[in-house]
Amino acid sequence: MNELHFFLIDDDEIFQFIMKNTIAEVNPDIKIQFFSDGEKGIDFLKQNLGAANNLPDIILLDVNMPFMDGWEFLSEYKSFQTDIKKDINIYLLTSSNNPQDIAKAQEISTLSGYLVKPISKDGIKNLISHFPTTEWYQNEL
Amino acid sequence: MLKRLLLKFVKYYLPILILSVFAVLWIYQKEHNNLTSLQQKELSNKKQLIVELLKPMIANLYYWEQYNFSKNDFSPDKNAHLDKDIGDFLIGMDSYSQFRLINLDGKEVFRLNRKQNGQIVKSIELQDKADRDYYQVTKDLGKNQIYLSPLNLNQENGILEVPYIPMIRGVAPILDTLGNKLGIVVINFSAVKLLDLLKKDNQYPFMLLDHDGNYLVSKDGAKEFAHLIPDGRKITFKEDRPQVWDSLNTEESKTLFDNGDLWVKTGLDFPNELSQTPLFQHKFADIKTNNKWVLLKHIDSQLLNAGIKREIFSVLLINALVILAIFCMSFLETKSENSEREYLKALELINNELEIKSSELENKNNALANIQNKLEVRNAQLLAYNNIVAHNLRAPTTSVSALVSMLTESKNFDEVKGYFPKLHKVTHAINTLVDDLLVYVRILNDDDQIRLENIQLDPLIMACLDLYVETLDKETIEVKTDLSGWKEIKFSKIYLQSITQNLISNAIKYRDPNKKSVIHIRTLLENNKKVLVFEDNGIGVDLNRYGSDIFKLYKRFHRGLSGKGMGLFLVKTQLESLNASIEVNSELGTGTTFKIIFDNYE
Repeated sequence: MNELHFFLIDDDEIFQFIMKNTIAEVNPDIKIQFFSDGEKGIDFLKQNLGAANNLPDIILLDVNMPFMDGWEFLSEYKSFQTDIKKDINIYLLTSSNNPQDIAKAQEISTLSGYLVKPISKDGIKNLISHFPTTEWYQNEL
Repeated sequence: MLKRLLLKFVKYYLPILILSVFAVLWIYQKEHNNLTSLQQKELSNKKQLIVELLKPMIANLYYWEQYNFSKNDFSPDKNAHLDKDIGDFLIGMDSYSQFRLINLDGKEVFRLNRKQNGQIVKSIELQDKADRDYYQVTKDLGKNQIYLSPLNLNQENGILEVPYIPMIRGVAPILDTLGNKLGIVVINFSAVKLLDLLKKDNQYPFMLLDHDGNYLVSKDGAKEFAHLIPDGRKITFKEDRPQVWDSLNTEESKTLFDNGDLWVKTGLDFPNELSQTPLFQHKFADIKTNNKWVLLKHIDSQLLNAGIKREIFSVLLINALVILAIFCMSFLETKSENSEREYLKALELINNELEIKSSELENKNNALANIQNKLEVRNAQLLAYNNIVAHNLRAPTTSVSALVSMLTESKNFDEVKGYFPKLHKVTHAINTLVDDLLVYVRILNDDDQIRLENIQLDPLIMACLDLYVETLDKETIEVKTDLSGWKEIKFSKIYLQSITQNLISNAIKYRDPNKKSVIHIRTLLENNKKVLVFEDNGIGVDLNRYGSDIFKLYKRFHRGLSGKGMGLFLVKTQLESLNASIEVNSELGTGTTFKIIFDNYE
């Protein structure tokens, strides 16, 4: 099995750095690609609809971003989801454990789970071990 | 109260009073008219009585004139044969007191007297009447001329007979068959009976006056014939009541009011009245007399009104009763009006109170609505605050803890050193966020202590534009202001400055470089609310996408343009803290319009 391919869509550079380190520690072979906002992520996906090699297995999607936030990304993603030649699991990343946000997230069918920051090494391991899944995934704090 | 009562009373009573006065006047008038016509009738009857009683006298005088006396008859020695004829005649005429023949020398030649007991006696003694007035007046009487003397008192031998015997002498001339005058015949008509008849049955004092105003008949007997009685009081009606006498004589009036007394008069002109007798009518004879009498009734004012006293009294009684009734009625009406007025007053008072209460309630409701509004705004603000803390603050702090844990697991110092810039960046972000949060929280906390003042909008805008004087050079960006809607507002100067500055800065920052930029600032009134509009023709924002986020913290929609995402957030927060609101209208490529609506600002 090929090593997993991660997308991290988040405008927080520090978090990008932290995730890069954390994932590298879990498994240096895991590929991770960063996008600083939703729009950039959408643009990349649209350009690589058929190129399964360029597409990720997992997208970690931040909620709070400029230009296009996580929610907007999800509604945009849904419009071309069927054209994507790969099964992608999208997890919503957020700093808040606000139950309202979680409830809102569960309503969205394209989402596979909800991750509350920070995400530790164990968190990544746990996520990977559950992958791929059709069940709702939520990390514990 | 008293005044209204009186007014009401007068209002009701006045018509009745006027009617009563008219009624009294009417009664008075009617009574007088009745009285006058009654008295006139009575006087007319009396006049008729006098005339009727005198008529036979004239007829008798005519008879004796036509008797064909002879010359011998005027000789006392030779006229004894007359005794029987004349005596028989005289007996039947009980009001004739004397029958005489007087010759041309004024001497009596034949005389019969009626004694007190009615017996007719021939007088032996014959008197000389040559000096008497009636002889003087009648000695030249021509054929068929009949004379009536004034009513006076009988004299014998030139001396008044006592008791006084009022009488009228009738005289006719005697001529023989050849037409030679022999003398005169004189019949004394005793007026005692006539005057008795006239004095009888008078409800009101009756007076008979001659044409000089002498009393012939009077209530006061002493005044009768006073002009004839020597040494007596020569009192006449003319002197007693000169005014009444003048009025009665000058005017043809039949009634006269003098000092409240009523005088009713009828004139008796002998020649006039007697001319109706057949003798004079057919010119058989001619009357010669100066007698002109006045028949007078005097009704004293007291007696005059005695008759109508009862009517007046009943009118007054009715009036008194009416006054009492009207007074009671007016009193009751005034009272009921008063209570009605008081009731209305009380009602008004209650109404006023209710109105006050209701307006108080309304105020409270308004205040409550305001508070609710404010609470809703505050809730939304707290939610925003919550979100900021949850998302924006939690993210860097979790980053710090992650970095710190990585730091502790570092294998060497180089690796450690690599974390410091990252840590620095995160702490800087935290600081910035905390500073911004402080600004936000201060606005939320300060909304009760914000100083409101009257602000002239024009200088405030000018001062803000001055900050960007280099950018706003008219070539690239033109600013147009139109403050015709309003020029002054009571608001926080600091907030208004900050808001204006942010909106102008936004308009500059997001201008469309492909066209000439115009910023429009204008004031207007909408639904009595002051509105301030900032309009630009910049690049605009897709509100369908970002509509709900445009005023949120750290939201940015334009790639490549420096913006922290704090300006509009602050603008909205500041406006909301002072009950104002902001609306946005924008279209990509066309421009953006911000509309600030000041609720209840002077």
